[in-house]
Amino acid sequence: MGLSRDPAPLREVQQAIQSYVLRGDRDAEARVLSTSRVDARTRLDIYAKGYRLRLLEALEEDFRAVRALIGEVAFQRLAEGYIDAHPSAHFSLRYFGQHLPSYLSHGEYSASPWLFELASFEWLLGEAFDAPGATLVSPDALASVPPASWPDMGFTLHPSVRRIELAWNVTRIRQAVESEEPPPAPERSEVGIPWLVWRQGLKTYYRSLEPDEAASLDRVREGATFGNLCEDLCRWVAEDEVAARAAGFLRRWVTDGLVTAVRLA
Amino acid sequence: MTETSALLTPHLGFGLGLRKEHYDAVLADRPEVGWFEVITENYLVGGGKPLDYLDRIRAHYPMAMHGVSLSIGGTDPLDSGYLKALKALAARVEPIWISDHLCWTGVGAVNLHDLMPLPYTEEAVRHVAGRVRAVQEFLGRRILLENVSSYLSYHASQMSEWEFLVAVAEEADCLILLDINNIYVSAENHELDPRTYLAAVPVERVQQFHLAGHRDLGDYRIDTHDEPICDPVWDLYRDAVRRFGTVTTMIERDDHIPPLAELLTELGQAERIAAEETASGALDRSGNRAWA
Repeated sequence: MGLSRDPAPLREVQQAIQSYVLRGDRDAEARVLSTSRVDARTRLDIYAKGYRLRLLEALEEDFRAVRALIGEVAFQRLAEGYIDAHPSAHFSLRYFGQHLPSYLSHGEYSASPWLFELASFEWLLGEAFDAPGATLVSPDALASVPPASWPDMGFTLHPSVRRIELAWNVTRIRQAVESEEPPPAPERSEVGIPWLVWRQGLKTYYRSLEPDEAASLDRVREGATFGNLCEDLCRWVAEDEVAARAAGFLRRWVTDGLVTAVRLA
Repeated sequence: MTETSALLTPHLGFGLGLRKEHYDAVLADRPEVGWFEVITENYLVGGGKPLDYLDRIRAHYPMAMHGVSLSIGGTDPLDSGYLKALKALAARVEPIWISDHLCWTGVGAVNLHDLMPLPYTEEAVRHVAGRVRAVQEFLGRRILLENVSSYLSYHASQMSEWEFLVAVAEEADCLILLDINNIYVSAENHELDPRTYLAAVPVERVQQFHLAGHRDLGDYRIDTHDEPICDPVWDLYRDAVRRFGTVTTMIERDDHIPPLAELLTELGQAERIAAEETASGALDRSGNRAWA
């Protein structure tokens, strides 16, 4: 069957429908047929409601502890605001929540600074979960490096390795939520604590770091050699303890599956 | 012995959608399913658990890759980043085929993460068919396009959904993934006859069937994939087997996911219906495939 009039161009139809789904722009209604039981607006609403529900579910999945901490109603309000502010631009729903931490650092939510930290931490856990894998360096490989070459040794870290400084007890909040226990009240420590997030095998881990280990790890990510680490560690430990301290970090990183390559200059 | 149209891969049996809730059960029990269908986007990640399980399960079963983000009916340029990731995943999985939906998913770089229906116009046929050809050329293979469940229709449409589906498939020379549940849901929502739909689809282009459950909300139905398949959809499936033969078939369940055994029982029903209809000689009536 054909109609005498030219139909609206495809893009124009899509823009109108999308404007309804995103903002409730009612121009779309004139383009949609009603049936004997359902009018055009109700039919458009099926898509508009489905859109919000799907995105809400994605955020609930990725920010379980934020949701548990503020409760379902407040989380829904947060999600509504975020959905309006950051329409999804990625082909996968997996990345929809990537801007939620920064969204939480502005406006009314900045009065609850633990939310920004908790969301940032949860997002890093997600990043570590499905980051690329890589073959790990074995402790034996380290032992085979001649002592004279150690100062020039550089390292590549596993693609899942993430670092974050946390002033609030958000790791404990997340832990409680994952164990289906009531989350503790947000509590601020006097100084920010450095944390490490990574995946070993298929399991995601996190642990707190001493300031000198955190600084060393950050230097390694910038390309520092073992010798550079030793120089830097003089800020924290006596000169005669520096090499042992750096070697201790390195052994632990290798055992924990953080190191994927050793480079010799 | 099976004769299939020159376009089609022979029958691969009855499969299920691979869902993470069943990863361990699949590896431990190696259930007797012919193949698994995976949602492409769930595996377009760097690594970790999703890809690890995918590889280990792929070692034991054929797989089809089923996407939701191609936006073949979209009017933004095709997403080259997505296409490259899709092709790379296909090189890893070596799927029996790659499918997506006859729909659009957003415009102006927005993704609604939904399967939006197209207006069924001549312009849309030309537009979609051109994009299908470009995708097929890039992937080096024919793709399957699936009919979606839809909840609205457009004043702009110039033809029926089935005329549109057939026109796109013929002009693009692609294959069809016929979702029996979606035909039923859309027919109910648009007050159409699902059997007219079935009768219009060319047998030689239907590579796969989907079956799934949906929600009846009174005035309309929603394709939720969270319930067992309902009787009217089983009846329509029976009619589809009569027309198309024993097509490679799977059941989709995406929410309220039951234990694997429950889905295997449901899959058994699909197999039984197909066996009954083929045994009755109904397939010969299709004139397109002969089974012995």
